[in-house]
Amino acid sequence: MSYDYHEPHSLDDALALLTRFGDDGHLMAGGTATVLLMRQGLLRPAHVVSLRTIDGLSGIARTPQGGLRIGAMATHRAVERSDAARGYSPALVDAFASVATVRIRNQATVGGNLAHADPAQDPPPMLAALNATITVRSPRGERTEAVETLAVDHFTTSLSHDEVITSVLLPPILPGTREVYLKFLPQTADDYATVSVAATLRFADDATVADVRIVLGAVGPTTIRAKRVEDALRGARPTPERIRDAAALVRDEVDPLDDLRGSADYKREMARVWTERALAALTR
Amino acid sequence: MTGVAEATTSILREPEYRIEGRDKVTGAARFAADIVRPGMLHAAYVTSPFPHARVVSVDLTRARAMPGVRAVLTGAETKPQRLGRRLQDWPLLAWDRVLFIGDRVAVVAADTVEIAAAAAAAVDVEYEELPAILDPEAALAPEAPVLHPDAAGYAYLGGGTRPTVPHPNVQGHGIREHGDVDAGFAASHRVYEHTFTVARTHQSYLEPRASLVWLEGDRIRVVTTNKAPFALRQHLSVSLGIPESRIVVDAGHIGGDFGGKGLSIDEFVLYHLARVTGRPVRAVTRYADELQATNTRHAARIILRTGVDPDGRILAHTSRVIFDGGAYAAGKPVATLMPGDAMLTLAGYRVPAARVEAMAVYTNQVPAGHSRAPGQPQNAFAAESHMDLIARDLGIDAFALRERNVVRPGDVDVTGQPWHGTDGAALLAKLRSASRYDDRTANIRSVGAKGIGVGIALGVRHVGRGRASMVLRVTASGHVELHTGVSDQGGGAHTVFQRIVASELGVPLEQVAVIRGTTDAVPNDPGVGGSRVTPVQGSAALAAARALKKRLGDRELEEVGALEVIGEAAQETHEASMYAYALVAEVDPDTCKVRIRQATLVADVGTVINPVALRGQLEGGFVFGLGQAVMEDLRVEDGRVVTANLGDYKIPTIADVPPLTVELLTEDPGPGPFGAKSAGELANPAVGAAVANAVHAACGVRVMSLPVTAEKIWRESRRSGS
Amino acid sequence: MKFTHTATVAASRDRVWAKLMDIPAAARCVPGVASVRAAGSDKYLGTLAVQVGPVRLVLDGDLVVTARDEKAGTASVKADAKDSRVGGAIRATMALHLSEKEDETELRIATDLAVMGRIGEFGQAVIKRKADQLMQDFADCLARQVMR
Ligand SMILES: Cc1cc2nc3c(=O)[nH]c(=O)nc-3n(C[C@H](O)[C@H](O)[C@H](O)COP(=O)(O)OP(=O)(O)OC[C@H]3O[C@@H](n4cnc5c(N)ncnc54)[C@H](O)[C@@H]3O)c2cc1C
Repeated sequence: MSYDYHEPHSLDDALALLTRFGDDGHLMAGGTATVLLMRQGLLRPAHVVSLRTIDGLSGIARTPQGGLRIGAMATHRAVERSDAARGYSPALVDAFASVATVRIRNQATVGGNLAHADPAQDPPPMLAALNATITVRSPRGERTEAVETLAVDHFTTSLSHDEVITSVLLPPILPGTREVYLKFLPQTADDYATVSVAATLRFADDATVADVRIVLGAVGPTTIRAKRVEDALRGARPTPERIRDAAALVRDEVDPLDDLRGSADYKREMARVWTERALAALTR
Repeated sequence: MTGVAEATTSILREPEYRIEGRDKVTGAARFAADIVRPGMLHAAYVTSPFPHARVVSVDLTRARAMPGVRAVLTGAETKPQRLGRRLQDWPLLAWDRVLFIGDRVAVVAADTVEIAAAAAAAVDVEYEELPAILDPEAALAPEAPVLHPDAAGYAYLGGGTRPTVPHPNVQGHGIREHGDVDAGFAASHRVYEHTFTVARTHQSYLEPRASLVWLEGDRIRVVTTNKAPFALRQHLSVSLGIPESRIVVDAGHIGGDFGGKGLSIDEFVLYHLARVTGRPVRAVTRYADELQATNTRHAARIILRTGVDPDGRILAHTSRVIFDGGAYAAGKPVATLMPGDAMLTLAGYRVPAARVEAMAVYTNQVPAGHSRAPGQPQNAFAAESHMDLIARDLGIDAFALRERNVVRPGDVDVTGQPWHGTDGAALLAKLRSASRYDDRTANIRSVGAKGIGVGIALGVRHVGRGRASMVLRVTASGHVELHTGVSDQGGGAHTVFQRIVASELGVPLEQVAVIRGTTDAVPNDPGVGGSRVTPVQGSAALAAARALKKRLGDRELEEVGALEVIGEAAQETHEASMYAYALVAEVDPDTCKVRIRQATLVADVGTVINPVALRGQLEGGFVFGLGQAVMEDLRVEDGRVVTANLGDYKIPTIADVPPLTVELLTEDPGPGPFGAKSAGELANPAVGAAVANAVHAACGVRVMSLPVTAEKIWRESRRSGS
Repeated sequence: MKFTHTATVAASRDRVWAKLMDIPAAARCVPGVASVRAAGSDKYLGTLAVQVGPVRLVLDGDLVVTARDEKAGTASVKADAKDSRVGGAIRATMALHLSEKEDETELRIATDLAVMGRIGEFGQAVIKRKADQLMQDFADCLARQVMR
């Protein structure tokens, strides 16, 4: 495995390198996903462009409006330990803290996580449930995109190869909102989810559901938004029966693979169980 | 046999300090893959993508033309050489047919690992696919294609001739019978028959295989991760037709073994590469290839049939055990060519009459070899699940049924031999109290706790047997040096020897150095394995210390000047020790995920020499067993391992380990030094059944196969509506 | 891995058969296939490019029609292709079957696919899903082309 390793000191330099190398170049952040693919021989870039030497991409701070901005190069561990992130949403911190082991979390970055687009990853469903957007830079300028629509297939995003995620923006959370992240690990504590559920729910004054967002991980080619479940709850009083009935709708929204972490049948049923559990936790 | 009195010397009562510990934590310890030689080349293989195929042609033109490529060999050049521990049936390089995905067809030696890999990819092999036999039952069909038509010509090591087999696709076969089985069944109140299956697993040591071979004059030097260097020397000698005296094997620190590192598959062909290039050549196995193409634990299908009287006492037993041996039997060191304890199907019980049949069968799967307590996890899972099912059906408490049947010294067990070992009744009594079995089960019943249950299971393991010798040298300054051929594969052997010698001589530990030597520098050693190191090699260390004491008379070490003695030991007694578990499991009613809330292990270990390592072996054995019990499954689809990395092949991490209480039985001396027994393979086999039994107690669902996963419980509970 | 795919076309069996046996044209219905050309009778060379996330495969190989029976509406095809960059290969055998029902024809493709070498280490489940999609796209595309 031989390649040239580049350490640009500005984003513009990084973009210039990516443009120059085209298909022969590959962007690297923490390297936890990229290096594995390279060692397996599945990815063979001639040039690796690192983001690690570019300043200003790793901050985590509340926005004046009460949201949260996370730099793309912030590590999972940094989010997990950030007071700003915890103050914004403890469930967000839970999602980052449930990734792999501390060795991986110390190295893996938020931008790398989103660009890797393995549907079984933990942060994306929670970020999508919190309605996060990313900011993307390219030689053509800057654009934003919702986390929910970033991934388009297994390990595939809408990013083109000269686009770099610079930050993730989470909007302010309206008062009365609760959030939860649940990761189901039937075998070992150190694994990707068999099913995961991220959900946020806001009560109206009359104790009905004013808003609810439910996003599942590991049960489709991308994260899956459980829109039918949401619709069944919005405006309703979330009694245990209603939650049970609504959660059952998730079975038809997911599209899981038969794999080592469970058969499609089992995952579909577990999606129901964990959706119900997430909703129960939010309405307790 | 040695006395017990000495066991109380103060050295053995102190927790030990590992001799090699500092080197390991500071990174100073060098493993085989750390060793480089000037001019060293790197090897890469061309392997079969098909489970069964004829090699039509191999075109080396492109590979040979690549810069940096120094040699490319095919089976045509190494034919008819084969490798193996007992039966040499695995071709160094295949020349006519490949028998599993990963079977080697050609090898490249090149200046760098990358060039070697690129050249291997540039070798063009034309295959003609043949029908693959992926299932032992299919292999046993009368008209099944014969996978090893030339078996008659294979070398069978260790003296004697290869036992006959009932079908050419059988690697090894055994039938053992004692008592009047038919009469036993006829007299039975009930007869139970159950079929169990056990998944293929991998030993999952962290260090992959590595080896380095070079020629020095007419000597062949081998650096290896093989844990039995003298045995490897013999395997190389027979396979390559070179006298043992010309081969020097060096096996130092080994990064984990768990039974898998007794099989070497690289050193043989590396010799040929070193010969043709005149350079040292190294191979380090990729972990994907460790999982796909070395040797695994055998998958098994086990049918047990047992007749009992109305009180549940065993009257007769038959069993049929079929192990999937994979493409080659080369990984199995025992004479039967089956996993070591293939026939121990109802271990630990009084069995007045039994007929046990077991076999290992050739298939086009990954070859299976040895893994911690070979054959036992499969058989213990079946036996202890079977006993629980019998207890349930008879309405007898699972503990009580075992108490009625457990072996006591002098009873005849499933082997037909009188039992020499642990008093099973004493072991179970200790388990009952240590696990608070009565309180716990009463509690669960009285509060009507749903989803919680206690499962028990017991297991048996022989105390290692064999012969070994070591040299003890006194230096001019009065220090002693123990020279041994035992490698350090992580079990703490060298520390065991140091403590034995120091306590026997009555000198401080610092005065005793343990020096591991290559095969030309120390006496023959049987290697690490078979629960052997403490009872056999430990006895040799003790014998050496005793021989030295005798030579010293009443002189002090400092007075005698340079002196050398040899300690020899033969541990031939057939003794076994027992252990038992009680596990408390909780099963989530919706997801069927199992959480082990608490585990109690009672183990008969005799005299303790390394208290810390002993605990480590027992706790580690439990965790190893837990992996096989609940998650480990080397999945194979169409002959291809689909769990081809340690991210997909899951083994437990520390976060998966429940609280474990370990109670030792130490009063009954074993045949090892100062009354020691074995511990390395004592604790892992019975965990699977303990989990299955606890799950059944918790939620009423029986899982008949390992691993016991949440999904299997879920499926079974849906099927049975429980 | 084994798959079965079907597509129904509102056209006669003969028309579908003709379309199917125009191998270069039919093969272009597989997304990612480029440069299919004949190389002897019933043998074709071609390239298939597949991308799963950052992993790009360029599979070079051949396709052979190993049997065809127009009367029965069946044909067998074998494809072998190799990616020399990543190191790995695929082998697929496909049994094609056409059956006419009233004024429709059903195309049924039974595929047996083996993914070999390093490619297979990427994750069999995802590969399976990709291959499944590819074959369904092929069947649908064929159906569309016949209709044109
Ligand atoms: C052993 C192990 C266990 C794991 N377990 C889990 C788990 O339990 N849960 C979980 O969620 N994840 C898990 N992961 C995946 C982990 O989350 C990702 O590997 C990690 O987030 C990737 O981040 P990175 O910074 O290392 O990215 P890199 O490896 O550097 O990059 C990954 C991809 O993203 C691209 N990229 C990186 N940064 C950017 C950017 N700013 N803009 C655009 N593209 C970019 C790269 O080009 C590359 O294609 C695990 C990984 C490993 C190795």
